[in-house]
Amino acid sequence: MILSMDYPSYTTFGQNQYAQYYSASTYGTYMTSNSMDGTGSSSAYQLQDSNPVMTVQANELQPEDTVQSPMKELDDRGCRSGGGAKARGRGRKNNPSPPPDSDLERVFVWDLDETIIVFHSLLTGSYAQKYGKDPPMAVTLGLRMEEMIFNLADTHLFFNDLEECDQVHIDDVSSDDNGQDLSTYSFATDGFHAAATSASLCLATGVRGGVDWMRKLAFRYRRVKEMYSTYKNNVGGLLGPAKRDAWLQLRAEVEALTDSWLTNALKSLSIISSRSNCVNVLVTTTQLIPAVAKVLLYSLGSAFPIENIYSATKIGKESCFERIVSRFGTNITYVVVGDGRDEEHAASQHNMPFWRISSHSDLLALHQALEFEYL
Amino acid sequence: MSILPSFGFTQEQVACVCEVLQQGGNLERLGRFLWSLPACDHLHKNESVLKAKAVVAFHRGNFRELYKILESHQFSPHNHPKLQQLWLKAHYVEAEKLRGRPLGAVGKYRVRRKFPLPRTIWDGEETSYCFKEKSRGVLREWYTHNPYPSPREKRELAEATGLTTTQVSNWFKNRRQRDRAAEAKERENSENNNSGNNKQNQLSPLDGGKSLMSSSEDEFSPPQSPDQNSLLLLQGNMSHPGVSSYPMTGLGGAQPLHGMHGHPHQLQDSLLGPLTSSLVDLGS
Repeated sequence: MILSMDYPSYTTFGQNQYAQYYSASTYGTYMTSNSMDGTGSSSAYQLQDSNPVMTVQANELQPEDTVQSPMKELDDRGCRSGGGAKARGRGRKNNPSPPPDSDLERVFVWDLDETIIVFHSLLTGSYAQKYGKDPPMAVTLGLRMEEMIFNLADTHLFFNDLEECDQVHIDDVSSDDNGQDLSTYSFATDGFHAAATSASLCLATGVRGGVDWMRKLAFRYRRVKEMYSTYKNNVGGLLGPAKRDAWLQLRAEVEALTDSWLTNALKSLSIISSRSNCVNVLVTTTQLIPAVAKVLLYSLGSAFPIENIYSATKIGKESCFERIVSRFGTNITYVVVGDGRDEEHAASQHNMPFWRISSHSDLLALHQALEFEYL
Repeated sequence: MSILPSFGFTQEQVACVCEVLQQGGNLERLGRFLWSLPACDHLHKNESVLKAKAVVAFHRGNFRELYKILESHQFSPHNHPKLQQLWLKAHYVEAEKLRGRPLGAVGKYRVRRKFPLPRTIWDGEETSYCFKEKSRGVLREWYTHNPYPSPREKRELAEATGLTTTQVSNWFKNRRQRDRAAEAKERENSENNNSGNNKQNQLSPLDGGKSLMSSSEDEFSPPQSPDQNSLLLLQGNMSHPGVSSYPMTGLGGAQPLHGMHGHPHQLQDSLLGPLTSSLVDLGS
């Protein structure tokens, strides 16, 4: 069993230290101090002495900010989602997502955890219990996967910088971008990190960087977008040879334990991707950056363009669905695929047919329905 | 296409496929899918499946089958609108085929009278108006006592009728305006009475309870003495909250009967044709 020993801080925790990522209410308690000493990241952000003026824009209230209350404390802390003063969501002028195809007929809206991938239920032991697998084994695999996910997110996707500025969609801050060339840009030394973790960040009234800081934020999201496009079919290249082997091994073990759950899901995803009149969209309660990391690590990049990934952490699934409908239009048929709970409710609110995934057979049935062109 | 796949689907999944194909308008595929389903009773009583069958039957012009499906199973309210449309459209088409030419508004009215919506797809509520009969009754009753409710009274009315205070306000404002207009028109009519020009005063169902039009649907035979009748109606109806007592704006007004765009469902309500369309603006 390969257990990476490079990051002792991860293994000393008795329980899942990332649990707070999954429940909205505890998000705010994630330790930011970790990121300062560079643990787990190959590029250390250099702290600078600058104390940029951070202004509060307390009066901005976007449609998506009328959020479930657990998220309120997140919004009040630190950097609020960028581009606040600018229009976000529906009708944004600067949405560079590609316009929907005119011959688009179906949009499949997928949940991620426990629908396409088995991850959370590995950590909690519920998968092992349900399918009679060895619980400690399942938990270990879950932990290793989790480590990989957040390692990738921290190392290559600026998660340290971005976790408190979580966006719903990769293009949500693009209006603050000036489009300059980033090939020689130094993210490590541009002062963003210092500004983001300075003490003044944690004022209850919320602080925000000026235009300069917003632009740096936008650069990061742009860079994430570029990385995704480069490595979406080759995450091994991004991980580097050592980690790549560990990753392949881990993937194989997870597939074995989960009886090829992901493989089955991928069959359906592939059919949909290959059709010119269908697209896959992902709506997950994981934050955007870790979600992107998951998509890369589970080789889902070819099924989901990054512009089709939405994080519902801040605004909930129902609002995400609304954004999706605004984007693709009402002449389309939407099909929601998930394991229940939020997505089922959100689907019924929008009168979208719902395909429940609660076991392998549901995935198989979905695949069949697609193969026979019933869906 | 083998029948096998359908056995692999749960009822929920079958329902999902039915919904998807219906929403997408893929009725050919839907038909094939339905045909491939195993002959399981429980499955075929599923509402989504039944709805799908109804849609396919309509699409194929198989109206007997459609009516049978619509009449023999109770459907839940959120499906009623769509199924009502199917029922009506199918009957219109059949009537048009009999007649040999397209149906006008009155023809459609007659079809609806002849083939009332089955209670399986209709809750019995009169829906040609925006507000339910019950609500309108409450408002009418109130109006006879006091056409100028105070803001607090409007709030109470809103609660009693399930409408918003804005809707209540608008209803009263419109009602007062139409009363005024009708009154003015009445005065004008009685002045023009001996001119013998009755064309604009046609509104046959003044006596309510009788059949709507005695002649063809394209023409309306003028009643004998429209002015007297309308006056009668105005006065008579004031004390009968149960009967629609809206002022006869359309009677003497510039609107000839041909302009009646509404579909008067009930006989006494046919008076409200022109009013109906303006009521539409009240929303709800």
